[in-house]
Formats: sequence, C-alpha cells, structure tokens
Amino acid sequence: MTDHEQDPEVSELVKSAGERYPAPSALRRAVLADIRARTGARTGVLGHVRQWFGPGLGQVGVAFATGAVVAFVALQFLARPSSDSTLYALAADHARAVVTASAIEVNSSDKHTVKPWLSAKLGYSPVVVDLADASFPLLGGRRGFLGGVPLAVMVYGFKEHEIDVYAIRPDAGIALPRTHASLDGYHVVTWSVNGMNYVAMSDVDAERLEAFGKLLKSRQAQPG
Amino acid sequence: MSARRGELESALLPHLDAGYNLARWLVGNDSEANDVVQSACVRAIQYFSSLRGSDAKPWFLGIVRNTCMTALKHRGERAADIDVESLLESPAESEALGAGREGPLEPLLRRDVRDRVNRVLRQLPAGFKEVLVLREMEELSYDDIALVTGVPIGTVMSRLSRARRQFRAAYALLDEESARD
Repeated sequence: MTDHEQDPEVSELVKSAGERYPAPSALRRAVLADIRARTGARTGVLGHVRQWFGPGLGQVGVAFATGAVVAFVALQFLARPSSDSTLYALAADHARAVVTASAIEVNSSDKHTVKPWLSAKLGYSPVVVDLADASFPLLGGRRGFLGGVPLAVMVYGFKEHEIDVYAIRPDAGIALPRTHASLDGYHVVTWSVNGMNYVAMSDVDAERLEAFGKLLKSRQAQPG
Repeated sequence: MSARRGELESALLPHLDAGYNLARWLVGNDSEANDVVQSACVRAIQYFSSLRGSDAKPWFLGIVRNTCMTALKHRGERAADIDVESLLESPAESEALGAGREGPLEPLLRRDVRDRVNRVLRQLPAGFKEVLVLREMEELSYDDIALVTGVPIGTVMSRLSRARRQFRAAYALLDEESARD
C-alpha cells in the first residue's frame, strides 16, 4: 500500500519542532516500585510453613505441617470452588478488555443505545443507567465471556479507570463471586436487582468501587 | 520471581519516555499524564502475559493510549475512534483544508516555528494528535500504529494524511493571523 498523501514538510516540522516530554524521574521510580512490589519473591506454601512454625521444625515436621496447610487451603477452595474460578475468569476477561483498543463494542454514553445493543446481541438486557452526574460516566457496552458463556457488560469510567459491570442471569449456571473480593489489584462488588445479578470489577480502589456499586444498585432499582 | 521482574523492567522502562510523551500530548497536562502512565504500567504488569514475545513498544503504547482514551472520555471529550472519521465531513472544513494545501509553509524564525508547531499540535483532535506523535516523534511503522490504536492499517494511513492536512491548514491560518498583526 502506498501512502500518496505524504507531506514531508509537515512531517519535518513536527519531527524537528514538536515538543518531546520525557517521563519524570518520580514516575520512573514509581513504576519501578510497582514492578518490584508485584514481583516480590514468592515465599510459597513451604516458606510460610517454616515462618509459622519456626526454624526448629524438622523435615518430617515440615512435611506434615505442609500437608496440613495444603489440605486446609484445598478445603477452602472446595467450599466454594466455582465462585473463585468465576473471580479468576472475570478478572481475565476484564484485563483483556481494558488493554484492548476495540474492547468497547458499542461506544455510547446513551443508555438508549447501549441497552438495545446488549439486548440484541445477548438476548437479555440489564438495567442500564448513566452515572455521569456522579463522576462515573457510561462509556458503552460489550460482550464478556465467562467459560464460553456470553454476558452483557456495561462499561463505566472513573478518571482513567474502567469499571466493567457484568450482568449475570440467575439461570446462567455461573457461581457469583463473594460480595466483596479482590484479586491481584482488581476489586469486585456484587449485587442483585429485579432478579438479575451484577458483578462490578475494576482497578479503582475498593472504597470507590463499593460506592459505585451502591449507587448503581439504587439507580437501577428506581422505576423508569 | 526475578526472571519475571527482569522481563517486566526491560519491557516497560525503555518505553516509559515514549509512553509519557504520548500521554502528555493526549491528556494535555503533567499531573494527568503521570496518573495515566502509572495506571497503564500497573495494567501492563497485570496483563503481562498478553505480550507473548511480541514487540513491547507498541504493546505498551497501546495500553497507555487506551488508558488515555478512558481518561478523555471521563472528561467528556469524545473518543478518537468515533469522531475522527466525521471530522472532515463539513464542507467548510474541507474547503479550509483545501486552501491550506496550496503553497509552501512560510519559513519563520526558529523559536517562532517551535511555538507555532506546538500550538497547532495541541489543538488537533486526539485521533489526529496520536497518529502524528506516534509517526513523526516516535517513528513507529504503520503496522505498529495500527496495533497501538486498534484500527486497520488503511485507516491509520488515511488518518495520518488527514492529520497532516489539518495541521497544514491550521499552521497556515496561524501564519495569516500573525501577518495581519
């Protein structure tokens, strides 16, 4: 493909006279700290066992204690197996959407555009409201996928953060995550309105997401 | 895990300047650019597996770009993706751009040029700003710009030529204004 609309003069002007803003050193330090914090040496189950039971524990003791801890952790997961896997799957879907340019499939702040779009694509529709007056503008909607099950997702913004709200029908066969949960920097809040379950996921701080969830729930519950 | 730490550092740190430059141009001020780039880095760390051996620069700039667009939308500015294509549809604007295409850009005093170029760039719509910054300042290929902005390569090329045309028209307009003063 040829670019026959080149304008070397303009290119040269921007190249030679356009301002370059280098990253401030404070930002560089902050990013380095983020990387370090999120890749800290993992102690692992064995390490924790040694920490908890002290260095005096012999090999057999470590093996026994490790077994006990593994069994305990496994029981925790067995107690609510699908709820945690839902959390992981939602986090993966949300992360994928946030870093992908074309993630928002219907790009509109108008609930009268977003709702019919979701309804047409998914065969069901959540209660869509705009929260721009509370600093959470509706950015649009998309389809989310959870273990192959397509879900209606409303996308809200808060500053540079995105908040995905998954609408999950009770008969979708998806176990909901706990009401408040966190995973690797993402927070989750769940609620139900008019028989539909909602899960909001975002990297905004937990209190902000909590406030968002409360607000959206109350607005969704209002008729009209 | 230090192997992952090393990979992350070499994927993000060399491109921090390019990321900040893009963000600074798109959001228009230092404090927001800082917030945006740091959020983008956190997302990049969380979603590092999506890099899968491809070139880190367009991957990282894409995350920065998307984070900027969310911030702009929050501000109420319409996103580049939706509005850029309709920008040149008004006849008045097409006429103005046509006029801008004639004749060489007037040579000006050095400092003046720098000042004007940046004034013109600042007032371009985000969708035009981003392709000019990525192409002329960061010298990305069309393929990489397509990756960063999430549009097909043909769209990248037409957007670039529209951006240059609009730049030329605005620059010429600034010239006329200063000639009248």
